[in-house]
Amino acid sequence: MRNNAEDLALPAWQAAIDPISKLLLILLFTLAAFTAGNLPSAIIVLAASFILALLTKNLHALWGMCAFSLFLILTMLLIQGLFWPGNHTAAFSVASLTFCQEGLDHAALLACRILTIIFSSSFFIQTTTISENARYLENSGLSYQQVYVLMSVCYILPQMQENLRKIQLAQKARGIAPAKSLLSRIKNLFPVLLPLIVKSFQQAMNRSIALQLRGYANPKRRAASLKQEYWKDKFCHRLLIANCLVLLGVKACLIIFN
Amino acid sequence: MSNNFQLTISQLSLRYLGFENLALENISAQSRGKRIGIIGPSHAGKSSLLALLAGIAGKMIPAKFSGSVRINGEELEAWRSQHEIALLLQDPASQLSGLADTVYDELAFSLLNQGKSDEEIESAVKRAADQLDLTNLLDQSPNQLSGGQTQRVAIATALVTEPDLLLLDDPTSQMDPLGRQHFFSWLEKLSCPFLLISNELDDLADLCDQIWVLKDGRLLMADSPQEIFRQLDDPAIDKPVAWKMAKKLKLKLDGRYPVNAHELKEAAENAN
Repeated sequence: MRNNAEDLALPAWQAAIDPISKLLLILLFTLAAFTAGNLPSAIIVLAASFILALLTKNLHALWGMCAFSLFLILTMLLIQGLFWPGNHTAAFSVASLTFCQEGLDHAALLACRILTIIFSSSFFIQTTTISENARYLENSGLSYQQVYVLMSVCYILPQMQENLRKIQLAQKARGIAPAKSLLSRIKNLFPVLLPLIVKSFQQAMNRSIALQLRGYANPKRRAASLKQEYWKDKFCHRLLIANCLVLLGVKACLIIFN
Repeated sequence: MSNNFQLTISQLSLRYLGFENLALENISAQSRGKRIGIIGPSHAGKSSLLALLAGIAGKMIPAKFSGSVRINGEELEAWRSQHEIALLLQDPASQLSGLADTVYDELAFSLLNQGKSDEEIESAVKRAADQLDLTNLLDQSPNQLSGGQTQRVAIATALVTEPDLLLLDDPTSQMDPLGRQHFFSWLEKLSCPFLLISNELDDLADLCDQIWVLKDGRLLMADSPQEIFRQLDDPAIDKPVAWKMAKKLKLKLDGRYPVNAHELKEAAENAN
């Protein structure tokens, strides 16, 4: 989720979808991906989520999110292709290693599910700000404390990244040569982990103190007015929840009757 | 309220849980005037004193304290329940909610907590922004601000609720010289009483009615800036630039070295 509204000029229809509907959309795609029991249907769900992600027109961010999961997907292909218990048809061999079709199919199915979740989440992340989400959730009846706990997860990671960047810059300034290989980068990360965690913890504590001083737990607090009108939000919620329930039902039937 | 401020501290000691040493040790002081500057080396207990007055130490941070604090004759706790105390933390970024898209939303946050209407919020935010030269930044994201700008926004978040007492913990540490100058000129116009921790000794000497000097959790002195810098002889605590210049130039005013630019100018004019 974006930290702020800068350069968040959304097409009207994207802005008109409320944050909870976008979250439910992630749930719907996730359930669809898990209900799809074979590769072709999983690919159809994946394609739909990919189109949704493409509509945000932020390919750079999309690639960033996918790149993060590529390592995981490659590992899955390797492990499932070689060691999945249902393996029996050889697909291809590399050196003395034989990859099996069943394992590769299974890994591809899992990869489709992961990518579907990433693409649908990407739509939410690229079209909603933390503030908009917090505002909407509070207006939907959640207390600010609950909203804050939910939303704080969204900025703790960027804040830790920023702290890490500062620590690494300070290290460079003190003459520590930047690591060239991935392995030495990971090795260099260990000494900064403790100060990074301590600093982030300290910041979180300071912020919690500041929020209490600013009276966020005041019983008089009222939710901030919504900045925009959303298109039939309650209807969208019901529709998406109904679809999710249908998918859950289908999945249950598939489990029972298979 | 603003014209009648009396802070009385009697034998105040504070110890954070898990620490052997006292953060504040047997402090007794009485305010004179409504602008109090607090100086002292690191770990002197300056921030702890403000944390205790704001209700952080003992409530949000586990600590035990003894002694009494009274404001205008009322016990601190009772006074705090009726009045607004705003504290500005040393780290301005932590002062911000982190859930605001714009500086406007950030300032509005404190007012929403008080249940104010949109109209009241708008006028209060505009007033605070105007006071701190933030009007042009109201639509900007708090994440895009420089250190000095963030510090001004943090000050505005404390000021926007029109507190009865303002506690400022080194609020100019990240400001450039011009920003600092603006801040102190703004502070001069402020009607609300404040306790201000700062290393800007010249500005403190110019602005404050009284200066408290803390070291190792103890209050060494509490007096007017002129008396403080006349009597203070501790290598751990610096003196104002005006005082040091006057000493080098052997310029005295009423038998003592001037402590701020105005006094230095007057002393120089008298010498000529």
